[in-house]
Amino acid sequence: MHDANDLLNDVLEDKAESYEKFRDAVDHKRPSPYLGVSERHLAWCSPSVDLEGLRASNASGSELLRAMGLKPIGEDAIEIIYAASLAVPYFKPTALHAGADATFRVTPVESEFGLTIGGLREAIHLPILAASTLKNGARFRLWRME
Amino acid sequence: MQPEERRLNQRRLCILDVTFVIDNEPYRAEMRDISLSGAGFSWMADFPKVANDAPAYIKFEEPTFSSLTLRGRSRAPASGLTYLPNARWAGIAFDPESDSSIKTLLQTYATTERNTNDHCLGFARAENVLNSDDRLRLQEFVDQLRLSQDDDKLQLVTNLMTDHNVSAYRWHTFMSVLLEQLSRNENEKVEPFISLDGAFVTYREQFSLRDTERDRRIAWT
Repeated sequence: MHDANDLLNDVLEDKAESYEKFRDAVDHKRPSPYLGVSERHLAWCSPSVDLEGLRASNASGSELLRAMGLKPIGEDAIEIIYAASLAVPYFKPTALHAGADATFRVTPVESEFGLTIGGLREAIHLPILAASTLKNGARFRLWRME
Repeated sequence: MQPEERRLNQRRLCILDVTFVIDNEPYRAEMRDISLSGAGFSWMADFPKVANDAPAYIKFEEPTFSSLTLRGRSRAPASGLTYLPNARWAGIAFDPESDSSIKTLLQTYATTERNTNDHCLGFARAENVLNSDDRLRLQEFVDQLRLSQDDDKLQLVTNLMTDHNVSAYRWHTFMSVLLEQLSRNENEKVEPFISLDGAFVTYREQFSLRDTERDRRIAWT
């Protein structure tokens, strides 16, 4: 019997059949987990290509988090990479979506995407089941906090 | 050009419900800005395709201005409609004989000192739907928020009041939530930012998802 952390660690270490086991575990978890806080919350995301650009300049995990407007909390973080087509439609984030987050940057109406404090494009989408993204080949990447 | 004339020629934020009649066809619209030479409108419901340079006039629903009729020629965008929040979907170029009526309007309407460039149009449009009591409560609340000495909190207020991407629809829902929150906190001494935070939580959990119906979509697949 594996606990959730073991299952996820196995996936991150790319152990044989670990992805399938993790996917099944997520599929059977109740209440069903969503990308985003819950089924009632919008999910925020950035295009992978923008994160790749930062990673290419050797940004650490905590720098990546800060670039996304998130505060490191002393634990490693996990990036979930999924196909853009899975979460259509996307919406441009605004100050009202951001609520009490003072790191939100207001962008000109002419800009299609929002922009994080670290200059990454950002968008929001409706909540989607984590199991659904896994069934469609979502991948993970560990962000180590130094 | 005289200073007074120059002032009247600048576009001013002026949110009023109107009937915009183009080629004898009436449309419900919201006037969003006005100057001596013309005015801009957002449609209230559908997005009708209207003729450009057709004879047009506007009638006001607000009793103060109901006797005014401003005449001119319609201005419609040449390209198709691409959704932007609070976009200016049509306009009118006024006939010179409407000048005195427009001056009356510009000199009477309370919000004419607001500039369309530095004030969030979505906020103003949503505020227009409120009754005068709620509008006053909201304005007093925003003034209280602006007294904060905390940079992060001031940034938050600046973001809210200047983000032109927020639709009037989203603002209107949030204002309702916020006003309810303020009513609940009325008899207690609650810090304005605590009330604001409470409204954000309620709004995010109960309404934000639904309001995406009117949000601006990003073409990304």
